[in-house]
Formats: sequence, C-alpha cells, structure tokens
Amino acid sequence: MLIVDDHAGFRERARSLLEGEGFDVVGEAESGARALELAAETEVDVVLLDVQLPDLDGFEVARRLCANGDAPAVVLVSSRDASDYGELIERCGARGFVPKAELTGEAVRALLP
Amino acid sequence: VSRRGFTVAILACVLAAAGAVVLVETSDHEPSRVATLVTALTAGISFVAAGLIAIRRRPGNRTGFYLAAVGYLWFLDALTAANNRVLYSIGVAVGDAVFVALVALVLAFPTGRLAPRPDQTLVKLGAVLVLVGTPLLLLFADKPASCGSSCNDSAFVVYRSPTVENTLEVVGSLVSGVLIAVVVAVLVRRWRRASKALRRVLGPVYLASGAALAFLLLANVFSTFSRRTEIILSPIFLVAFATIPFAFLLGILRSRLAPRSVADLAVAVAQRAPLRDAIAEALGDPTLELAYAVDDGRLLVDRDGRRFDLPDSRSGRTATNVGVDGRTVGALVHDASLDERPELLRSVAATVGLALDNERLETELRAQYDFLVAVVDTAPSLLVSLDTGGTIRNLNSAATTAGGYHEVDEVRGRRFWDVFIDDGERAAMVERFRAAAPSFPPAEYENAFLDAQGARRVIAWRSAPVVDDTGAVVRIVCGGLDITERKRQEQELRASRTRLVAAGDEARRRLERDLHDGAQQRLVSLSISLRLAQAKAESSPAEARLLLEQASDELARALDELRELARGIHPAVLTDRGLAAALETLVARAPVPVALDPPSRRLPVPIEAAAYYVVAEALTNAVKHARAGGIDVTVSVPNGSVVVEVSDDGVGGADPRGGSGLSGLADRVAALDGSLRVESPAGGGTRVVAEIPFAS
Repeated sequence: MLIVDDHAGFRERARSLLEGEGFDVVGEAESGARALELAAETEVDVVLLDVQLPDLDGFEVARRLCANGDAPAVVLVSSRDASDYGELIERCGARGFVPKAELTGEAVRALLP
Repeated sequence: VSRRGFTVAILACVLAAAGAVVLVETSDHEPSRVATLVTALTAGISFVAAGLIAIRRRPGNRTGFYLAAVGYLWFLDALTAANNRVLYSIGVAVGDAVFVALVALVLAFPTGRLAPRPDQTLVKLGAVLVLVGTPLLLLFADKPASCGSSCNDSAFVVYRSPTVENTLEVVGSLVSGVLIAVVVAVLVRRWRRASKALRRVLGPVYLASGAALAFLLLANVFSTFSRRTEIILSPIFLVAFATIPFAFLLGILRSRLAPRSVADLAVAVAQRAPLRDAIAEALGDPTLELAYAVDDGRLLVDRDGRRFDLPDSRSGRTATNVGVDGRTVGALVHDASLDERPELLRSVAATVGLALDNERLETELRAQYDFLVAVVDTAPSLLVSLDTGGTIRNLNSAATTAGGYHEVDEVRGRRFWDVFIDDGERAAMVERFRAAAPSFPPAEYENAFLDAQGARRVIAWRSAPVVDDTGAVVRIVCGGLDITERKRQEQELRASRTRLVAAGDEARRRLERDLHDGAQQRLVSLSISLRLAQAKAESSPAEARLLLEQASDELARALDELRELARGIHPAVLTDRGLAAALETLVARAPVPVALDPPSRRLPVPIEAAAYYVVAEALTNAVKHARAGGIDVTVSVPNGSVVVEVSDDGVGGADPRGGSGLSGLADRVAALDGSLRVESPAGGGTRVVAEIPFAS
C-alpha cells in the first residue's frame, strides 16, 4: 500500500493502524506528484489517497493512476464526507471513499476486488 | 417769491454794485480798476437780473436761484479790492464761492434739480474746497505769492510759512483742476445723451460755460507755474463768464417756445418717433421725463427699468398720469409751469397712452429678460441653445465651465459635438442629430468627454425643441447635468461593495481551510488513535495507555484551536461586554507591550465591531510586519464620532492599498460613512486612524 497525504500525523497513524490490520505499507507520499512517481517506481496494489493535496487534487491523481492498464486500486480518504464530493469519486476511477475518521483496514479491504 | 422780495433783491443788487464801485475805485492795490469794474458789474448785474427773471417766470425751477446766487457772490469778490485788511481777507476767503454756485447752476440746468450723484457730490466737494481751502491758506500767508502786486495783507495770519503756503496752493490747484475736469466730463456725457430738443436748450449754455470753465482750468493750471499766462487768461475768462447769464436767458426763452400742436404729436407717435422727444416737443418742455408703471402699477421705473421716484412738490416739477382703459401705464414728469395748461397735458396724455403702454411692456419684458439671464447664468445646470445645424448659439456659464473654457465667446458659434462630444463618439452623435431633424423631439443622452483642459467629464443631457409660430424648429435647447462626480462615487461604491463581498468570501474560505487543516485533522488523528488503542488494549496495555495519553493531548489542542477560531469569527466578549473589554483581552494576548486607552461607553454594535477589527488588524500588522516594540491604542468618542488610533514604533512603510487587510478595513469603515487613514513613513512607525460618525 502507498499512503498519500500532506499531514505527517495522519500518515503515521494510518500506517500503524493499517499495518496492525495486515497491510504492507511500502511507501508514503506528501503530494500528488510524489505519489505518481512512487506508484510508477514501486509495485503497489492499493493507493490510499487523500483528496486534498497541496499540488494536484486527489481526483486528478486518481485519474492519472487509473489511466494505466495495470493500475493499482485507489481508495480515496478525506476528513470531509463522501457527500461533499458526489459523483467525482466514481468518475475518477477510484474504487471508493473512506472518511478518515472511519478508517480501518476492514473498511479499505471492503472496497478492494 | 413776493413782489416785495423782488424789490429787496433788486435793491440788494444795486447796493452791492455800488459797494463794489467804491471798493474798486478807492483800492490802493487793484492794478486795472476800470477793467475789473466793468467785468464785475456786467457779470454781477447780468447774473442777478437773469436770475430774477427766471425766478419770476419759472417759480418752480431753481435755475433762477442759482443764477442770482452767482451774481451776488460775484459782487462779494470785489471785497478783495478793499484797503481794509479784514475786508480784504474776507473777500479772499469767500471770493471763490461764486464758482461753486456756477457749477451748481450748470449741473442743474435746465431742470433746476441736482441729481444726488454725481451732481450734489460734486457741488459739495467744490464747496468744501473753496470754503475750507482758501481760508486755510490765509492762515499761513499774509501775501500769497500768486497774487503779485495786487494784494493786501491777510488779517488772519497765525503762522507765516512759505512751505505750507506753497503746498496748499499746489494741492488746491490740483484738486480744483480734477473737480472741474469731472464736471466737464459729466456735462459732456449729458450732452451726448440729450435729445435734439434738449440740445437746443443746452447748447448756448454749455458753450458759454464750457468756455468759461476751460479758461478757468487753464488759468488754474498756469497760475501754479506762470504768473504771466494767468494775467493774459484772466480777462478772457471774465468775458466768457459774463456771457453765461445771457446764454441761460436764451435757454429759458427757447424752452418757453409755444408747444407744437397735439396733431403733430399724433403723427410723430404714428411714425414711431422717439416718444420722449416727441412729447417734450409737444409740451415745449425739454426737461420732460417718462416713467413707466410696472408691477400692476405699484412701481414706476425709467426706460432702463430702474426705480423712478416722482419729484416732490417743492422741486418745481410735477407728474401727469397717463392711463389706458382706466389703468395707469405711466407718468409724464414735467416742469410745474405746465400745470397752468391742464387741457394740453390731458390731450397729450391721451394721445400717447397706447405708445407709452407699448414702451412700458418693452421695459417690463426687458426686466424679465434680465431676470431670466440672471437665472440662467447662476443655474448649476449646463444650458446650451443650438440652431438646427448643431451650432451653439448661446450657452450659460455652467456650460462654459463644463467645457473647460473661461469665456462664452470661446464656445459660441462652434458645433455642439466639437465641444462636448469625444472624437470617438462624434460621428454617431452627428448622425443622431441629423436623424432627429426636422422635428428634434425631446431626447436624453449621457456621454463622457475630455474637456478643453483635458479633464474627463460625464454629462447627462436632455434636449427639447423651441418652435416658432409656424411650428418650425428654430432652436434646440439642451440642459445638462455634470454627473462626473456622481459617476465616480457610484463606481467607488460599486468597487467597495465588490471588495466587501470578496472579503466575506475570502474569510469563509479561510475559515473552512483553518477548520479542515486544524481541528478536523486533529479529531481525525484522535479518532484513529482511539481505534489503535482499542485494538491494543488487550495485547499491549502499555502501548494502549500511551496512545490514550497522546489522544488526550490531541483533544486539548483541538479544543484550543476551535476556541481560537471561534474568537476570530467574532469575539464573544465584544458582544457580551463591549468594545473596551474586548480590546483589553485583545491587548492582553499581544506579544508586545500595548498601552490602551479604551472608550468610556458602549457604542452601536456595528461601530464597536468595526473599531475592534481596526485595532485587531493594526495590532497584527504592527507585530507581524512592522516588528514594533511598543504600540499605543486609543479609542475616543468626540462629538458624534468614534476615533480609533493605533500607532507603533515599527519600521513603517506600510502601503494601505497593498495589504488586503487594510483595504478591507477601509471598506468596512467606509460602509459606516467613516474614513481610514494610514500614515506610515519608512522608518517612522505606522499610525492607523479610523474615524466613524454615528448618531448618538
């Protein structure tokens, strides 16, 4: 898994939480551009992607990640609610959305194929 | 004047003449006794005689009195021939009084009345000069240098001083020269304005008097410089002087010519001859004046619309009313002697009634026109009158100024669009104008242009046609309002509103971002920490406890941030306890020392809020940008306004237009009709002053 979020505190906690639930976190990125780089370099199955990033927004990063054939599964997270974004989530190619406050390994796994 | 009065007057004249003969004949200093005596007797007797005849024939006309006065005063001059020093000195002192009477006579002729200005003023000045100036001279010179050998000694010398004497003589000569010149100017003007009939009366008098005055003037001028010239000129002057009463007699005889027939007057009126002259001729009274009744007969005015007061009964002039269909249209003001011929006055008044009424209407129209001109020229609106070709025929001063010009003539005769329309709009304007022909219906139009001084102006125009009897348009009148300032204010208001809305949007955006990045993130972390702790509670209690401690800290920080945020939105203490308390807490949180002088009373809520944000923003700037070491905050409430002042000792150089904070504050203050001023010289600290008015 690749965790993409500009808040270091969130990345750290998400990593301990998800590793505790069996995920193998192979990298962290603090921006959209860095996330695209890491995704190209490393073999990742899942990208946990924050919607609000300092450069590109999460939807754009998701769209670019999913443009490739063997794209990783993208799960969007945000401290906002899914209803704030509506159809944007599905349209960008992401598997789904998990509110940050409800983040668990189980919730992520439920969205994967 | 009674018969006895005349007898006394004649007797006095004879006595005076006899006295003069004795004085001159026995004089030990009179150089040419015979010449002096002949002229003195001729002049004196002829003036008195002419005067008495005039008084007899024209009892109401004071011309006779002035003539007689000149004669009697002339005899007094013979006292200068006296050997007795006191008599001689009196003669010198009053000798020149004759000239005052002469000036009065000439100015009053032929009506016998002296106008308050300039006639009466001139006579009074002359009297002062003669009755004060000459006696004054006698106090300083016992033998004035100018009199040569024909002098006695002054009896009144108190201090002999050639310097004072010379000064007085020169000043006296200059002043009398100027006075005489003014009198001549007045007479010349009167002559030029006189009608033909009046000139026939004035002619001989002015000729004789003019000659006398001219010689007197020359004699006066030369007496100061050349004794010899004066000796040559004086006899000529005396001859001219002696002819004056004959001229007056001639004038009186002429004005007593038989009146022309009323039939001639009717013909003259029908031929539209000048009315006053025709009536003067018909009445045989060259002094006739016309008065026109205006304001429903309540007021009499002259031809030029000036107020006309009827003469009082003692002036020797009377007025005869002129009426048409029972209403008074004016009055004939004439010599009182004409009252002896009431039937002539009645028929003349009846003949000229309609013509006088016409002239009265013209006078009234002229007055109304003058009034309109005054209104048009003081109106703040632009008024321009165009012909159907678009040429400016007339405009008022407001339009001249709006065009950037000083004189109406700089604009008159030019095309409207060349003066008031910009190059870019001109072709369209010309087309518009042509399309409006020939009826030129009322229209409205607003345009901006650069005036002659290069200033941009915005004018709102309205135009309407002026038509003649046939309905054809003869003029197009355009009224304009200079709305440059209003437009500028509107624009400023719009910009300010837009900025206020944008500032509100920006504040909400910042708030959302602050919530998202701050408290919300902390709560998210908190939530995850709690879930982690929950997961570790059984397997690793120590780790779980650590996680709970972290969560607790996180929660405290989240609360702090929320509190700070809420305060930023609107400080509760401002609402609950007012501006003074809110400023105290604001100041207490500032990282540098702040001296606060808070307001002593509560103020309207919007004012308190604006004042609070001015202080808050200025404090933030002082700490963040100006690196201030100390700050003074004063909020005072002088009459009807709040003055907020924040000054710091920082680096200065703040640009009120640069930072969105200060310009947002300016808009907030302006929305309350207040003003915000920022003084921030580089290196000289910053002073922010907001003044907001309020109805107390």
